[in-house]
Amino acid sequence: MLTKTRITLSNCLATATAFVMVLSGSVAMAEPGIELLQQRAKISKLLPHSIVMATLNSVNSVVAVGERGHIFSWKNHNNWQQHKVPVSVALTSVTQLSDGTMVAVGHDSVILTSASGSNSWHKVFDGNELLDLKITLKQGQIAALQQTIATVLDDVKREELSYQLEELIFSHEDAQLEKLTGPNKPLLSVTHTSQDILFASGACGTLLISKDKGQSWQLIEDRIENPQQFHLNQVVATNDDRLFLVGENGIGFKSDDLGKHWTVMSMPYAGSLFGIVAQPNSHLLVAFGLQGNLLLSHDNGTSWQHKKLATSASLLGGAVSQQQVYLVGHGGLVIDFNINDFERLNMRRHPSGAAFTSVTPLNDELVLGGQFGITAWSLK
Amino acid sequence: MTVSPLKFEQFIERLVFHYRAVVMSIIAVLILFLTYQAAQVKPEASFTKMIPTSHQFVRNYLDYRKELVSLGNVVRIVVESKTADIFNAEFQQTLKQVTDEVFYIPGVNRDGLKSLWTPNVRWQEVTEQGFVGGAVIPEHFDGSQAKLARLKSNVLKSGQVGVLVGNNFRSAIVLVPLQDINPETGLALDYRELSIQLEQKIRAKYSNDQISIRIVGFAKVVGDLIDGALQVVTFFGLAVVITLILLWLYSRCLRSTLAVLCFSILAVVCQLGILNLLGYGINPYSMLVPFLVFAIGVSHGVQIVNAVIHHAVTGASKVDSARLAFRSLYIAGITALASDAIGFTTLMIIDIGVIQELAIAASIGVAIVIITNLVALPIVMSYIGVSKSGLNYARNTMHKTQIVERLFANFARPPLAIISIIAGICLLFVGLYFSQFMKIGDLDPGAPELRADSRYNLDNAYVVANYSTSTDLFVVMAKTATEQCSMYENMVMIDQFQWHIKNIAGVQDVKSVADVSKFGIFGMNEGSLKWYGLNRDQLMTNASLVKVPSGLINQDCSMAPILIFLNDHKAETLQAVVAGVEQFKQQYQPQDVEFLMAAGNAGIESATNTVIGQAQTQMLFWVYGVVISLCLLTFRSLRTVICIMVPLILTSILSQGLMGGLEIGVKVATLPVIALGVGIGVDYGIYIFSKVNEALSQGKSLYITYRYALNQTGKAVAFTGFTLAIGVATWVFSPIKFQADMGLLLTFMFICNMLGALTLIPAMAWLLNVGQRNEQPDHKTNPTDINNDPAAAAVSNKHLAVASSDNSNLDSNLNRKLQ
Repeated sequence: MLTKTRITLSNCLATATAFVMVLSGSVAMAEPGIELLQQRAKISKLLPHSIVMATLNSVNSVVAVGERGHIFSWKNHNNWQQHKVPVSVALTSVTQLSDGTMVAVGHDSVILTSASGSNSWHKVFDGNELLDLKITLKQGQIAALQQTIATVLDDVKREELSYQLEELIFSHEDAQLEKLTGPNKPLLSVTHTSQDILFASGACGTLLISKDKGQSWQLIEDRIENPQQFHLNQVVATNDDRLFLVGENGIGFKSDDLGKHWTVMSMPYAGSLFGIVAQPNSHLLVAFGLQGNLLLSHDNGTSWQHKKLATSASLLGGAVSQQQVYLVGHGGLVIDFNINDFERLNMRRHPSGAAFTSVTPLNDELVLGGQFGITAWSLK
Repeated sequence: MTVSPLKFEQFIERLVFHYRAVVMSIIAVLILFLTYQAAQVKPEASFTKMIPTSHQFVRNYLDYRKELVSLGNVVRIVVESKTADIFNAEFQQTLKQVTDEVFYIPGVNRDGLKSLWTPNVRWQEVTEQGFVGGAVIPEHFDGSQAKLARLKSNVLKSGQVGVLVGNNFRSAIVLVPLQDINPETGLALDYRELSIQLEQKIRAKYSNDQISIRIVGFAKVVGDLIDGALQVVTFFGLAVVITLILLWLYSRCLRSTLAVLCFSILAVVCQLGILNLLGYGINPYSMLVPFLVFAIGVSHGVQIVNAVIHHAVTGASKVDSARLAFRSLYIAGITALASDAIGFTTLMIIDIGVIQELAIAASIGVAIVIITNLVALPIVMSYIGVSKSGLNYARNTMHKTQIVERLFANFARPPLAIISIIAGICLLFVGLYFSQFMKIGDLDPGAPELRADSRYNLDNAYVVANYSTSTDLFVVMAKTATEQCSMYENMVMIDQFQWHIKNIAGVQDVKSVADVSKFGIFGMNEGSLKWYGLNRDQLMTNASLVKVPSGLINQDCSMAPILIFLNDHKAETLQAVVAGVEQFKQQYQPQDVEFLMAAGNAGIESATNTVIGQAQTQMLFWVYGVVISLCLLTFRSLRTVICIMVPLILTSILSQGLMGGLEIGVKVATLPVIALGVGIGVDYGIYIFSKVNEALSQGKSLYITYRYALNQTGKAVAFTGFTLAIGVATWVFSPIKFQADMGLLLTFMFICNMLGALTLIPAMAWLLNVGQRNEQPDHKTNPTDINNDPAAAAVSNKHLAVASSDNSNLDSNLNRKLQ
C-alpha cells in the first residue's frame, strides 16, 4: 500500500502563532548548556569521514566544510589538516576571495572568515545579528506600508495591502520571538564577484551582501520578490559578474548589476532547486533539484527547458569544468555531460551510496563531499 | 605438644565408633533424603546473576531495564542464500516462512518482530509532495521479475541495508525481540526451551543446500551455555572412571577403592540436594563445584584409606585401624576442610550472583565431605576392612615408596633444599614477569563464554562481517526532566557527548535520538544535506522526532539511551569509554542532562570488570587471611605457617603468570579459581605438618621428621594432587570457553601446590630451622649413612631394614602414646 504523508515543506510564514504556543507552553527555559555558536570545534581525527557540506578548490588542496564546525584542508586521507574554528554549528558553504581570504557560512546564520594562508577562523556574523537586521528591515517595511495604506483610497487595494501588512507584522513577530529562543535559520550558500563583493543566501529568503570582504553584512532580501520567504538554496556569481539565485519551489532570480536589482527567472518546474551551474562567457545554465529534475537554459536564464533524469534521486550539488558539467546527489549519484550536449549524459553510482552535496573536478578525479565525508573518485 | 586425645576429641571418637551403627544409619537416611532432593535440581542461567547487581552501572541499568528492553534482549536470525542474492522468489518464500514460524514461538515479542516481511519495515523517500513510503514487500508480491525489481528498489530506499539486509545482499535478518516475562503464563523466559525451539523449528527445518540459518543474540548464548554445560556432565563420568583406576592402582584394594569413590559421589549428590533445598539451581559456573567436591572427597578418602592400610599393615584389627585412622586424621582433615570451606566463603564478598552461588555450593560440598569421607568412610572401613591383596601390596611396595620418600625427604636439607629455594625464587620472578600481562575482563571477540570456533561465534562473526553492526554495545542513559529529552539544549548536550565519545579509540559508532532529529530535519527539508543538524526551533525538532524508533527515547521522554558501538570488549576499550564519559562530564558540567552509565553487554561488562578488579586483591587478602589464621590456630607456630604459605603464594603468582601468558583474562569464571586453588592447596601443607609436628614432638631431626611425614602422607599427597588435577582437567575439553579456562588453571594450581608441598615445604622448613633443637640428639641416634648415602639407587636391604624399623619404632611409639 502506498501512503503519502505531507509532513512539511518548510513554510517560513506559518511559525509565528506556533512560536507563541511554544513559549507559553514551556516558560522554564533550559539552562544554557553548550552554545554551539560559542563552542570551539573539537579537534578530531574523524573529519574526512564526517558529513561534508561543501568543498572549495584552493591553491593546492581542497578546503572542505561540514557538520560540527568542521573545516579542513584535504589532499588525501593521509594528508589533511583541521582548521581552528570558533563555532560548532554545521557549515554549509565556503568561498575564497581574490586575496586568499576565505569566507564560510552555516547554521544559525553564522559567517566566518579566515585571512589568506591562515588556518584560523573568526566569527564575523551570526543569526542574532541577522535577527536585528531583519527586525529593523521589517519595522521599516511596516512603517512604509502603513504610510502607503493611509494614502490609498481604493478599498480593494487597501485590503490587499492590509493583508501584506499583516504578513509583515507576523514575520516581524517571528524574528522577535526567534531573538528570545536563539537563531535557527541556516545560511546555505556564499559566493563572491570579481570585485570580491560577497553574497550569502539562506533559509526563509535571507539574502545578505558584504562589500568589505565579509567584515560587515547588509540584509538585501527586500530586493527580491519572495513574499512566501522560500529558502534560497544557492547564490552563484560568475567571473564576469552575473549573479544567479535558486531556491525552494522552483524559484530563481538573476542580477546583472552586482545585486542591486534582481529579476525573476520563470522556471518550468515547481519543485525545489538545490543549485545552479553557470560558467563565464557562456549563456548556458544548468539548475538542478529534487528527484532528478534538471533545468537547462541556453539564453542566460531567460527561457528554460525541463529535463527529468531516469532516477528519483535528488541532485544536491554541481560544478562545471572545461564545458563538462558534474552533478551529484542522493544514493551516490554522479552524473556528467558536456554543457552543449545534454543528451550524451553519463550517470554513475558511487559504491558508497552516500548522499553527496559537492563535487570538485581535479585532473582525472572528482573530489566528492557528502554524507560519509570526503573522497576522491576516478571516473576512468 | 601432646598427641594424646583431648577430652572433647575422645568424646567425638567414642560417639562415632561406639554407636557406629546408629551414626551410620542416620547418615544413610540423610543421604537418601538428599539424593531425592538432588534429582530435582535444575540447570539455570540467569542474566542478573552473572552481573554485579549493586554496582552503580548495573543499578542504573536495572532502573531503566524495562525501557531498554528493545535494545537488549534480541535474537537475530540470519537467513543466508548460499547460491544467489536475496532477490529471488524462493529465498523470499523461505524468509516469509521463517518470519511466520518465529511469530508463534513462545517468548517472542510479536509487535517488535521485524523482517522484510513484517509491515513495520517500510521504505521512504522525499518527493515534491513530501515523504512517500510503503511496506517493503510490494503489494500482491508474486515472485515475478517486476515485483522482485520493485522489492529491490524498496529495500534500497528502506535504509535496511546493513540492518535487516546483508551488505552483500546475500542474506536477510529476522529481528526477534524477546519478552523477559511471558505475559500469558507470567513465567520468566526459559532460555533453554527457546534455544531448542529455534534450533528445531528454524535451523533444522530451513537449512538446506540453498539456505543456511545463523542465529545470534544473548538468549542463544545462554541456550548454548546451558547445552554446553550439560555436556560437561559426561566429563564427570570420565573423571570418576579415571579416579577409579588410579585409586585401584594405588591401593590394589577394590573395596576401599569403591568405598572412597562411593562416598565422594554421595558427597556430590548431597551437595546438589542441599542446593536444591536452598532453592538454587546449577549454573554453568557452579557446575565446577561437583567436580571439586568429588576430587576433595577422593583426596580426603585416600588419606583415610592410606591411614587404615598403614595401621592394618602393622597388624591392627579392622575396627582399630579404622579408629586409629579416624583419630589421626580427623583433626587435620577437619582443619583442612574447614579452611577450604572458609576459603570458598570469602568469595561471598564478590558482588556477583554466580560467584556467590559457587561459594555457597562449594562450602556446602566441603562441609558434606566432612560427614561422608571423614566420618562415614572410617565407619564403613571398620566394617569392611582392607582386602588381603591391598595389605600385601602395601607390604610389598613399602620399599618403592621409600625411594620416593627419600627423594623428597632430601628437600629438607642441602643441597636440594637450597636448589629448591633458588628454583622457587626463579619461578617467582617468572610468574611476576608474566603476571604483568594479566588482563581484567574478556579478551576474545564475540561471545567470550563460548569458544572462538563454536557455531555461535562463527554465526556472530558472519553477522559482524556482513552487517553494519557491532555486537559490543555500551549504552549511556541520558536522563532529563520528564518531557525534556527532546529539548534543543538537551539534544545539543547529547549530540556533543556523542561526538566526544565517538572520538575515543576503539569506538566504532555512536547513535542516539540526536541522530534521528538531525536526520529528520534533513528529510523534512527535502533531503537537503545542508540542513543536517539540530535545530533551535523546537517545533521543527519535535516534528523531526515524530518517527523516532522505539527504544531511542523512553515513554515519558525523560531518558534517551546513547548507543556506543565498540570494536571489541577488551578492558582497555571499556575503560577508555568510561574515562571518556567522566571527562566529558568534568569538562562540560551538564546540568539538565545526567549521563548515566551503563547498559548494553559492554556497559555491563565494564561494571563487572571494575568489581572484579577490586575484588581480585580483596579476595586474595581474605583467602590468605583466613587460611593463615586457621593454620596459626592449628599449629600455633609462625614458622610452620610460613612454610605452608610460601608454596601457596608461589602457586598463586605462577597461575597469574599463566593467565598473563595464555591471555586468560580475570573474569567471573577465573576469579574464583585462585580462591579455590589456595583453599584446597593448603590441605597438603596441613596434612604434612600435622605429621611433622607429631614426629618433632618425638625429638627427631627435621630430615627424619620429614621422612616420617612423607611416609605417612607423602604418597597420599601426591595421589591427591593428581586426582584433584584429573577431576578438573577434563574441563579443558568443555565446549564452554570459561569452563576450559577454569579447568586449565585449577589443574595447574593443584599440580603446582602438590609439587610445592613436597619440595618447597621441606626446604622452607630447613631454611627456617624448624626442628633445629632436635638436630643434636638426632645425629647421635641416627646412623649418618642414611643421611650421606651418595647413591639413592643402590639402596641396600640393610638400609631398608633400618629405615623401616625406624618407621615402625616411630609408629609403635605413636601408637603407644595414642592408646
